[in-house]
Amino acid sequence: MILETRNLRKEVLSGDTPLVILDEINLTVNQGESLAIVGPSGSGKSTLLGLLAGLDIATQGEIYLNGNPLHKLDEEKRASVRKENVAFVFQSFELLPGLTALENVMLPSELKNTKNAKSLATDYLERVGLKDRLWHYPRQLSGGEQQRVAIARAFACEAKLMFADEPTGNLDPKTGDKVSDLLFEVNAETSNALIVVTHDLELAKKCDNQINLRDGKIVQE
Amino acid sequence: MIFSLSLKIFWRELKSGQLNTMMLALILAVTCVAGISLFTDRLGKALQLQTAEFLGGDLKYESNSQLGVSAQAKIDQLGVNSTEMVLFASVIASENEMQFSSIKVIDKSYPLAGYVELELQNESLTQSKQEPSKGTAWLDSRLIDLLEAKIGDKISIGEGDFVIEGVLISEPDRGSNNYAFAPKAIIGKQDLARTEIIQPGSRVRYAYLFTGAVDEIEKLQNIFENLKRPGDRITLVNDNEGSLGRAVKRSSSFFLLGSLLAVLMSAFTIGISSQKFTRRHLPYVAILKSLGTSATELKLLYGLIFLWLALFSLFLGLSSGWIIQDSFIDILKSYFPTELPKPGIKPFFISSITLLLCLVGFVYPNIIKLLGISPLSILRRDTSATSISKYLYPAVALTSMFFLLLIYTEQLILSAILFVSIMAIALIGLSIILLLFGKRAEHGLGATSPISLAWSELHRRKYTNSIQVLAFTVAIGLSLIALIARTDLMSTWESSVPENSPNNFAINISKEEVQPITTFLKDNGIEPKPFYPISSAKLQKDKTAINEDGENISDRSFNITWTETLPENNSIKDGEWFLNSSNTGLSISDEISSRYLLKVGDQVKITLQGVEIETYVQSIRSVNWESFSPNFFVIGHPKMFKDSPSTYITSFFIPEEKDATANELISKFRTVSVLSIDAIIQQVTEIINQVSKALEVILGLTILSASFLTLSTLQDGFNLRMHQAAVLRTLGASKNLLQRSIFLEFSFLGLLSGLLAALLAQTGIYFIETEVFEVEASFHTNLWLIGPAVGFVFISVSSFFLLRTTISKSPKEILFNA
Repeated sequence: MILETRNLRKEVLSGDTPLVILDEINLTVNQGESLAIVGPSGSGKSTLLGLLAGLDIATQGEIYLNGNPLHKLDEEKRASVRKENVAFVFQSFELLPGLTALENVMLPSELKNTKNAKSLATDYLERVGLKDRLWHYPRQLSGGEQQRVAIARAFACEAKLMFADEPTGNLDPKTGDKVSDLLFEVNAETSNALIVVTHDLELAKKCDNQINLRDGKIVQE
Repeated sequence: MIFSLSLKIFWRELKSGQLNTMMLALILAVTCVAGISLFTDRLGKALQLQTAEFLGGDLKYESNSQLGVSAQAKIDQLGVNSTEMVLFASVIASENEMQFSSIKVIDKSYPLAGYVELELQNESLTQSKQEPSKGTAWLDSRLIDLLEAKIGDKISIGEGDFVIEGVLISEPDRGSNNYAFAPKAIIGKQDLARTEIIQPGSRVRYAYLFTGAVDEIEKLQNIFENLKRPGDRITLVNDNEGSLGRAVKRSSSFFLLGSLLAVLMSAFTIGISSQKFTRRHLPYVAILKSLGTSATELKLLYGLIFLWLALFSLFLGLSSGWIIQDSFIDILKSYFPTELPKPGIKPFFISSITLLLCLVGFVYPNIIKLLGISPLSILRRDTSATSISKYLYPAVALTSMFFLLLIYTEQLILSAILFVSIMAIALIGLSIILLLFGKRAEHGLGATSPISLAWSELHRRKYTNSIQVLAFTVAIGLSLIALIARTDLMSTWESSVPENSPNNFAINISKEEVQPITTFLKDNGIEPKPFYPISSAKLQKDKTAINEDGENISDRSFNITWTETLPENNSIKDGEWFLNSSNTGLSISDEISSRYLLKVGDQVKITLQGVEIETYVQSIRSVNWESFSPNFFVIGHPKMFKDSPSTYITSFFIPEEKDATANELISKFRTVSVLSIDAIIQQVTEIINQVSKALEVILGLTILSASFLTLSTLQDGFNLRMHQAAVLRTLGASKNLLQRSIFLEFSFLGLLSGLLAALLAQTGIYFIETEVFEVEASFHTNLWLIGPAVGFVFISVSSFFLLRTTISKSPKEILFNA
């Protein structure tokens, strides 16, 4: 088991009144599994993703990521857990505009102080079909290409768990299909766990499991 | 619709604080310009008045003979105001004493400018604009003391008896008397004949003062130029500003240049803010364009928004500028006898033009770019596509900068020099940054350690860094100048007036009196400086001694001395000081050399007491005229004049507790006159002190504008840094890594800025030392220690705290769709 949550609850303050965003979230994800989190806007999908990845802390409940109790760790320790275990693909790609495709993909290895960061990044970019785009800046790439760079960066994390937040949300359907195929293809190669937040039911169907969030609660698994 | 929409958008921008940086920069620019130009305008007018008062009018004509009838008729036709004075020296006798004095005879029109200040019988002070009543005289306090007389006592001048009506405190044209150093008396013209002093052959000087419109004075000057005979002298108000005027004028130029720096930095801040404004307004323009708003309507809309901004900033800037100039005036008002004149229209014009140039040069190109972008490209988030040339912005900005310089200096060549200098300094700064960070050997962000991340950031942000370094450099550099001005510079200046430096001059000393006076002074514990023979001489250079202004050197008399040793505060610029082996030669001051085109080796003829001597220019000296020692335009070889008749001049320091010694000296040596310059020294010291206070205000404003520029460049990169930090933290980077790398990055920028600031301050202080304070330039070691230290600590700590919150924001808030 790579991820487990127990009775997860997240509240935020709306003025003086606490507002429940997520409640009674219990889920498990095993190595090599893929999970889709679907639900309408405002159902708490992104909040859940943030909690699962250790970017936010829950008001109540427990989260274990590769055995690490995220709910007990401070921000610095959670960052360390993220560095070793987690990779991300975002809807808006979130590439650093001042870095080339290669440099963006090198980032995770740099943070881990891996010596062969450049050759690793080059390999991953080749695997996503961007061998001839290594020195291009994000602004010089199409949306689909940018998302492929983001996928290469996620795989360069060599993490056990990958989070993808609406990975095809900013792409046209044809490019979106290609990108999602690539995501699952490379994920299968690495046998990592994949958690996808999406509105796209076709994308959700590609996952092994699916949970449906409504008003902050899992309504169907 | 457009009108109300423009007001609505302007008001919302203002309320939301989005316009804060741009508006504050505009207000600051106007404040600086208005403050300084209002101040210098009023100061200039006051100086003009003061110098007019010092001269006694707008033009003075002095001659050994009275104006002829035909000349008088020509002058009368011009309709200028005029007054005639007769000046001579004579002995005044009271019941107890007799004293050789300077006598000025005035008519009913006197004085043309200012007042005569008198102390009357009941010790009340009065300002008179009339001549003394018939049969009375006004005497200065020194003369009254020497005559052992008091107001109401009888005195005799020549054959005429007079009653002392009042004590002369000051009169406007106090510099106009040849016998200015002698104790003075003023009588009315109606009493002149009674004295029977003026006889054929008497040594009398006639002085005429005139006031009138500029063109009338110019015509008058022409009349006198034609009329002028050897020994006659024409003085215009502008020729006679005095050392106080020069000090203030030099300081004013420095203020204006200081404020120009503030304006330029504000202009850059405005430019950066306007880029942010443009980015924010892209959706507005896209939506308005897609709703069918025409290009003209959009131009009108944004034109109006910036008009409101301009008017708002102008109002606030002028108001704060007025407060600043008022405080400056308050600091310096004690140096002006009357209330300072009201400012003219020029400062308001300069302030408005500055604002306009800032907006046109630094905002307009961005707005043009904003309006030129198609709605489709905005909706596609492709904002780079525009038909506007990328060279438009720098071209318009640099042109505006040049015009700003031109407005400030009012001189094309000086503006060009300043423009090139500013560009050169900016280029040097940019080159240093590019040289250090131009090429990166390593790829990637360098996120392996704080040092490599900081180093990589320095490379990646080299252009933004250049602007930041420039702003930091100016801010720290000017602070250092302020610090040095307050500490080292004041003490340097004060030390240029060494303690116990002469505060009294004694003149009219005969050769026989030199030894007794030396003994008298020594007996009173006073050490005299060298005694210099002094005589009036005329110089003639062949037949070509006419300079470019048509002045003939032979028309002018110079005070000449002769000595074997080069006097203190003199240095040889060209040629050699007198050799023991020779027995001829002249040493002339560099002013005389350049004014009358005289160079080393030129043959000249010198006429002294009717004796003509052929000699040559042996050396050219630079003279520190503001030193408190006797200085001379012309010094002759002592062997050449050894038997020439002359009086002597010397200087000495009388401590405060021995104040009475001067009067004792005059009592003992009746023909000797003593001039105290204590008040002048005091005045110059005080004015420099006050000027440096005013300087601090300017520097404060400049530092404020540098801070705005720094803040705006930092703010401009906030979003990028925030995004980058969020991505890195999501990927597992620790906060510690990011914070330490930011600290290191800005420590380096601070250190570099500190070093450049020390260089800037050292250069600036060099000019202040040599041009404003006129002292010898020195190397300030402390600048090179304080500058980098302050840069390192201040920039790293302040930037760290500014950016800490930015990089600490939750990555979830920034990267995830809520």
